[in-house]
Amino acid sequence: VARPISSSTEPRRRPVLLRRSEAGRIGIIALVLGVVQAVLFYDHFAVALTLLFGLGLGLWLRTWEAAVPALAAFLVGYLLAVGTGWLHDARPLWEPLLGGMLAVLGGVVGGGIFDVLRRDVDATAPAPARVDSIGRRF
Amino acid sequence: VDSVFVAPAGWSWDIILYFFLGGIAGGALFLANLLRLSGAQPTLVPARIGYYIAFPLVNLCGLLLIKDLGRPERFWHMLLQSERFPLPMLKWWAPMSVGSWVLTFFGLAAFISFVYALLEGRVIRWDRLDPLQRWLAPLHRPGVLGAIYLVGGAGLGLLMAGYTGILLNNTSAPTWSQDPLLAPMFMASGVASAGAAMFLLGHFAGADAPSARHAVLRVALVALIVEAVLLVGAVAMGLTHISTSTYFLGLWGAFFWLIVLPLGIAAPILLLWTAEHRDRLLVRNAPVVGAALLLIGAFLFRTLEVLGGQAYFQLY
Repeated sequence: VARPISSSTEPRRRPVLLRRSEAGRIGIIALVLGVVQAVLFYDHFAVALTLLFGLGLGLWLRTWEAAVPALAAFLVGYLLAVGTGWLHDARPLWEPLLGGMLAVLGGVVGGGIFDVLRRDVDATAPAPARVDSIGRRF
Repeated sequence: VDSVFVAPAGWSWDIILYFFLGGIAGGALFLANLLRLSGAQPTLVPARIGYYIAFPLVNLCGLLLIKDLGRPERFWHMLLQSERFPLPMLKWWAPMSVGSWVLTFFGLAAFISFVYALLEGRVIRWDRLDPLQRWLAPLHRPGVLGAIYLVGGAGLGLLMAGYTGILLNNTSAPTWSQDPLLAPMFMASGVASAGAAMFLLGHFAGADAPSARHAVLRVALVALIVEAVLLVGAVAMGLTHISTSTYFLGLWGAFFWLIVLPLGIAAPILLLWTAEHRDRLLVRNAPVVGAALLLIGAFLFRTLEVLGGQAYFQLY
């Protein structure tokens, strides 16, 4: 059964990152992702991977604000990698810049699509089959 | 075969992701435009979902391509002549140059439809933009102007999804150059993965008109079957040059036969066919599982083609 992201009868959800109960969990996941990136940071793979992490976080959190933990995960991974000696074949400016942009855009695109659909007047309207003849949802 | 000494292109995960996301973007615009051409009211939301994903994804594609360049700040050299700025740089005989222009025009079409979808879906509610919506509306509904624009955009979508196959096929790599079906396979895979992505987004967003959503999924299934048929042809052709065919090349061959084929192509066809046409769910939420497997399979297929296609060099 499809899980609606919102409906016209429910109050709009607050952005996920503003809810304290989830901030810690998201922070831990960002940290784990960062470490995973650091482990894999032996070539350009991890910088491309950061886009997948960003997209994944976005699709999971369903808000464009996923860009924040995505960027944090990238920074943690990148700094750990540099700190442990990964410097060969790395472009000092482009790798962090484009990697950071991919992380942010991944989060924005992956989560932003749900923000857009939440605002779309038709996409989140209650399904006709679930509304009775006087408009009550069931 | 013994005389092959062509160095591999050195393409890695940036290009794999570009092929994958570019395929979805191209397929999404293609499907969304076809839905618009049908003119049916229930297809409006699935079509808008297609527009919502095509433009953001093509931006990611551009960034991945720029990152893959040795000198990212020179990305504009792909489109404009640096010596005779601002004359365009177009080498019609070079797939990479043509592809740069396909990406540009596709991005433009995707942007126009993205803006229109935001206005039509009232995601952007600004009265001053009403004239823009009225101006763009004829382009997105059946009619002479709409048909020209939508068919043109759909064509660009297919090119966007498939030109990468032409690009690979025109290289000197023995794996890719002997596989003329790469482009149509990428097109079919792009349409299939876009349909799966649109279905999953509509499903998880709780968008209404599930019948239209499932219609999109059925189109994705047809595209996946077309891809599978083409793949049979490609594998058959690969039998004539097994030592340089991606489908038989060492561990990559095993990856194809043991993972990509059963999990990424056969399983989604079986799950979606039985769910959509036989009304029988082989697993719980079979359409969702099938669509997700289809997407994963499309990613694995690009991984196989890009990394496996360069693995021939390790054998010499």
